Amino acid sequence: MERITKDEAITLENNKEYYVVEIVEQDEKRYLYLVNEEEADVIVAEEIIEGEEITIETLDDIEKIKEIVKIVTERLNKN
Amino acid sequence: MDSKYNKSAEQLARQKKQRMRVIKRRKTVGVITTTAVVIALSVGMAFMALDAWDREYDAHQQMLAEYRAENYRPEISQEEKERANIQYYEDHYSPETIDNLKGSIINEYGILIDAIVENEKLQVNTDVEALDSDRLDDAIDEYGQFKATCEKDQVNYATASEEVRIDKAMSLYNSKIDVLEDQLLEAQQKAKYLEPDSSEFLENKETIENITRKIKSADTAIDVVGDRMVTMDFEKRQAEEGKQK
Repeated sequence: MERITKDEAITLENNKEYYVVEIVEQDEKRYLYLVNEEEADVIVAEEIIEGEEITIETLDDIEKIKEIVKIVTERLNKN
Repeated sequence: MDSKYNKSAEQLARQKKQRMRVIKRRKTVGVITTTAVVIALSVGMAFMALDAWDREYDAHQQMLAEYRAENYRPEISQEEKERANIQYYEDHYSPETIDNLKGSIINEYGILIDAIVENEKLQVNTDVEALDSDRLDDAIDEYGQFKATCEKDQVNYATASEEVRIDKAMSLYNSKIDVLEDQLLEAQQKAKYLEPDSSEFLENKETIENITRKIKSADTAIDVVGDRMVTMDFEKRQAEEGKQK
């Protein structure tokens, strides 16, 4: 299964489409910074690949969310 | 910052663990849309501001809790609580500050900062403007810096000499200017992603103008402090010469 990349938009099972704005790789994990344009909604989630299926798991660890948001915001500011 | 971004930032902070399957994928045409990038950046910045606010608020609450733990009795009445509250400020802040400390937490921070700024002769908030959220953010920011300076240097601002207070005003100015310049840079960078004449562009433009105005006010205020330092040096020299004669 091909991993999710920055140049794509993914639709989740809640039928909302999210742009993959950034990907942060840490400790053999991939964290996705996803943006839904319609609702100005942002989620931070881990990519999980199981066989032929890709799922995302949203983070609930506030310290981890802070860390990812900080990295992503710094990267976007540099562009 | 737009309220919808603040709301999204709050949602992000309260995010719960949830698994969802990816049911569809599509490639974008090389790049993600500008709107998505602006949302990503704006929510990220709002999230970090939220985090900074929480830390300041928690620190203030902790300070209050510690004071209460030391001074409150379990059977305390409402009147006693109010008296203890006043006592708390008398112990921590100058008489001028206490005179102004009334009302809600917004007033508390805003007036406290006005008093501190006045004490320091650093009149950044010269405008008679409403206590809106931006001003509250500024006030909390300044309050945090002031508190950190007091704690670090163990200075009693109520009794410190003018020389010491001016020195601290310079430190406060330097840290404030750093923050404002960072904010200005962020807003200028954000402008790159926005469509000219869009509502977000105009809002960002207003933000840039506001920050620039604050930097100018702070620069003017620090000039006043500088003039006062020159006067003090002159007065000191005069006094020395007077003694020698």
